[in-house]
Amino acid sequence: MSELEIGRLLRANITRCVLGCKVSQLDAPAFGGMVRIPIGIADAAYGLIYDIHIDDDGLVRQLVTAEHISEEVIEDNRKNRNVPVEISALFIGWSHEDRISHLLPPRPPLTLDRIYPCTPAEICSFTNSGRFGYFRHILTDDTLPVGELLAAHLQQADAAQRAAGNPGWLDAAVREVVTLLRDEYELLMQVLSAVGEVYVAGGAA
Amino acid sequence: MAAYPTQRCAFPIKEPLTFHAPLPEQVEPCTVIAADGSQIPPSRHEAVDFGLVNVGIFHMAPGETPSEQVISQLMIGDALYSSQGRLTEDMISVMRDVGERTALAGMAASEIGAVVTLTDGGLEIFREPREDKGFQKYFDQYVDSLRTMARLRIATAAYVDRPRADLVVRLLELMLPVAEQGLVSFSDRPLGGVTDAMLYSEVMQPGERSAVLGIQSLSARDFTDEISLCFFYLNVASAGAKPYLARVEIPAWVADSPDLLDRVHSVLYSQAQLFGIRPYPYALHRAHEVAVVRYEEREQVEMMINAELMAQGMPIDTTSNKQSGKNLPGRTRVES
Repeated sequence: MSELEIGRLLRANITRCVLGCKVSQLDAPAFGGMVRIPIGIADAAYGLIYDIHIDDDGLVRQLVTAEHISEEVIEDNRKNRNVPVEISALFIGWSHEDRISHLLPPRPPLTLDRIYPCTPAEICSFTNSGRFGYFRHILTDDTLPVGELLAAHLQQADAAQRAAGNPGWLDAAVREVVTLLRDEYELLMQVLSAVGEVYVAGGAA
Repeated sequence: MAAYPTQRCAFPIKEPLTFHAPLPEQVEPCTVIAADGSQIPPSRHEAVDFGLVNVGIFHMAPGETPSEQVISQLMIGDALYSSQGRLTEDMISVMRDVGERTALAGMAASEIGAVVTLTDGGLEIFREPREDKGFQKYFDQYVDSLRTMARLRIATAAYVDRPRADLVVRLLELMLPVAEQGLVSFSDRPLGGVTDAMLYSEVMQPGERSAVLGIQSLSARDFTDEISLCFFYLNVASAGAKPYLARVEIPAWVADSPDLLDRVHSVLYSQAQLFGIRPYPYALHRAHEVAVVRYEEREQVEMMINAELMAQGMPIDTTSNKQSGKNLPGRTRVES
């Protein structure tokens, strides 16, 4: 279990959440990455990062008009000023003790709960559980960049699966996507176009 | 000028009135420490009668990540009273000024290498009632902190944005024949309405400073010897931009030292350039951001005090009926 906290919860509902993190924590989370948010003692929600948002404010907008922005000013705005990076994550399942479910969590996490990136072992454990049931949370949400998000997730999950000795996972996942979208040709083509990049890249993260 | 000892005006020291100096070419990199303060005056109309002085410090050293510090002083109960009675808003403002200056002196004293300290507004403290013993105590602290900086040869300056002063203009008026008639009312003054900035913006290029001048006034008499008050105007506009003048007040020990004067001149201009198209010293703005107490924060402080009072079994109050009426939604009038 990773103890490298990447941020804290700002707000959440039953389907998604937004967490805030300092710029210095920004190395950890990536688009399509899986995160784990403990809920209580025995439960945890799993999420998929679908947006990383860096806000500006009046001062930053004015600073960019300067001819030269010194390193000290840049560091000051990244480290000191309260403009957190906001990361949005879609809930894709939860666990109770060691039992994983691809249903939505029974309740959202609480404000300021810590969020952790999933380790490769946790990614494997979650994605091997059941039969890709969590794909429906991604494929049915038309507010998301579905193709790009799924491709980014598959790339990262495939890397974890290959390292764990399961090279056939990606093919099985793509077959499931085709099955789920067999009646939605346009969306299927869009998703396959993005997922195709994962194969071009060698399936490596 | 000797004929008008009570006339508030500028007077030349070494440089002629028309003098203007370009930006110094080589000034060693130095640390900038800026302080700003904010205050919550006590109000009998609020649920909790308390006062707060918040001093924000912003420390910016070359090659390092800047740092912030906030020093808060909460006044409640007996602390809201001086020997003269209840603390006035003016007295709390003096406490804030002193807080800024003493914090700067303390931080600057521990710096190694060149340093410039900055505050917003003038070096003088204009507060009433000046005969209040409480005021005198704080004023003495203020002067002590300035003298400490003088002993340590710390460059310090107070920055006045968009100055409306007419100190030089009044000096010019004293030279006119009408001066003998006594310049009392504004309508009598031949140059009334003309500001120093209007004069100097005609001749100063971006980055240039005016002559360093002294300040003659009744209140300035409290600042003597090495802490005598001086000032200059600085055009902080970028090259090619419309002139934008600020007034920079400095103590005599800075004015008398070419190195310290150049350092202040150079630092203030470069700090203002960091702020983009509306030049203003970046460090001062950040000190303000650190110090400011927002309405929501004020409410939180009030809630915390109420919670503590309740925990100690003490009664808590509500806002006055007058304030309660003001707080009703739908109010459109803007409060200053």
